[in-house]
Amino acid sequence: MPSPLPTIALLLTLCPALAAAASEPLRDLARMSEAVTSLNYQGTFVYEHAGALETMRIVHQADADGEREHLVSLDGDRREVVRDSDDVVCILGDAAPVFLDRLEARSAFPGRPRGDIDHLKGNYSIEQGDMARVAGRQARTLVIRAQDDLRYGYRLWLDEVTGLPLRSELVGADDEVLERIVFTEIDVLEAADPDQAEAIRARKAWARGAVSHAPVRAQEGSHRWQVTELPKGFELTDYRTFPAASGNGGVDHLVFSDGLATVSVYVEPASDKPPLNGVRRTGAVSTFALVHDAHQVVVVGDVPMATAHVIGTAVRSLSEPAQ
Amino acid sequence: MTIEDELLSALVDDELTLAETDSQLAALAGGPDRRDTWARYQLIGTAIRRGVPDVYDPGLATRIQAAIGDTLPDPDEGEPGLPTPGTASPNWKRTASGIAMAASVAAVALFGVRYFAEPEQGVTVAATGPAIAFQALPVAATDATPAVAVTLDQERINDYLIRHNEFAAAGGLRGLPPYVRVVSAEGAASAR
Repeated sequence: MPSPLPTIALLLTLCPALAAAASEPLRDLARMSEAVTSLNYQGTFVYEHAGALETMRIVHQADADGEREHLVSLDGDRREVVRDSDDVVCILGDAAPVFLDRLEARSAFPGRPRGDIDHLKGNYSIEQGDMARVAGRQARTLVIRAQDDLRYGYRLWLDEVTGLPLRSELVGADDEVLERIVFTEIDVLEAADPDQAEAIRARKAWARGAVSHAPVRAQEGSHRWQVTELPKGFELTDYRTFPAASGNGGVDHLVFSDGLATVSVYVEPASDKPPLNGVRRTGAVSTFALVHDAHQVVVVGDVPMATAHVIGTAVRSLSEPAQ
Repeated sequence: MTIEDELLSALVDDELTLAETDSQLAALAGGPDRRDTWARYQLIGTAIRRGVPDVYDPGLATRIQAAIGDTLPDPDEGEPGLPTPGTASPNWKRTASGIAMAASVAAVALFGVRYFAEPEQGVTVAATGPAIAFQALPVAATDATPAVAVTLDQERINDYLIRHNEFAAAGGLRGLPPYVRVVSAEGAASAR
């Protein structure tokens, strides 16, 4: 799902009056979003979630050819994701590489007026905190608090010079940290290293030769399903369809957002596989599955389980009579 | 909250008498709305006690209804629960057995939900784990739906997670580099 933040950044650039009106924390958020996608950087970070600690290394490049990224686990089996513009390939240990679907429409936020900054304000409060030192660099803290229990909060430590997030935390109820990323070292480069760019392209080419099937692309879909009762602040931001892995028809993918949190709803015809009924929570990600009207419904979101449950139980076909 | 809702909440908290329990279970059999409410109270109750369960079966209420459906008194067979004088009323027997069944089902249901709340975060409840224990319970034995309904197919779940993360990570909010969850050991394990 495209984030609204690049749009906010663009608006702040083009419209000085709006920039003057926007709060300092919002400008920090927009700057961070721009930095993450447009800068050349490489570094090592620790990813903490669900009681587990993992170390990863990231190389990110951005130039006229687009974005390139190489993310590699440094613990246990080698696991990596290579991204080169619209191609994303996932290589997990000895398993065959898997091409992922790269979303095309990242430049806008469908279904919502551009620059709807107030949408964030309605669901979160954002304020600046103190300066701190992370990975040997000065960082400004940014605290994003959820206005209710339907969503999580965030704490960010943004590099004073570049705006890059040096540390980030996803915070649940009672201030519980559900996910944490902390860079231990990071280098910001003036330009993309050509050797690394070539290494990324070579890795992608190897992966492409190792798989025989083409990546499954999502398509814009006609709306067949809806969520009749959405939690406050959430609205439909995308609707796509893609072929079901079972070969049994297609999967409708509805995406909802409150400006920061994202919830995916998948609906597909029930197959001969055992139905999915239940929940699973891993770190910040809640998964809730049920069967409705001979269709499998799966809700996945960076939200509390109660929010996923409310959304999942309100999925209805557009052809169903209103209750 | 209506009186009915309060009773339903009390049922979840195991605070009702046997007769009240029977009454509420009969109400549960009456329609999907009550069963949905009951299921939500179960989730809330469990969440209050020990946080949101990692595994929660939304179809449990339906299976309870299926389990007790045959034992509840038939409205067309006279005053429920009252034996006909001088006869050994089948209706009375059905009601009595219904109460006993309802109570046992209620206990099983509550136990079942709490049981499923035991796994730690990220632990997958598979057909080889708690689901087998659940299969042995009376609720499952009388239900047409698979007793392993709580099992989440890891491969299918992972497909959904990967696609979701594509959306969630776009824009780099939270400073979470895209695909971190995919590369993490847990994400990789569930993809295999």
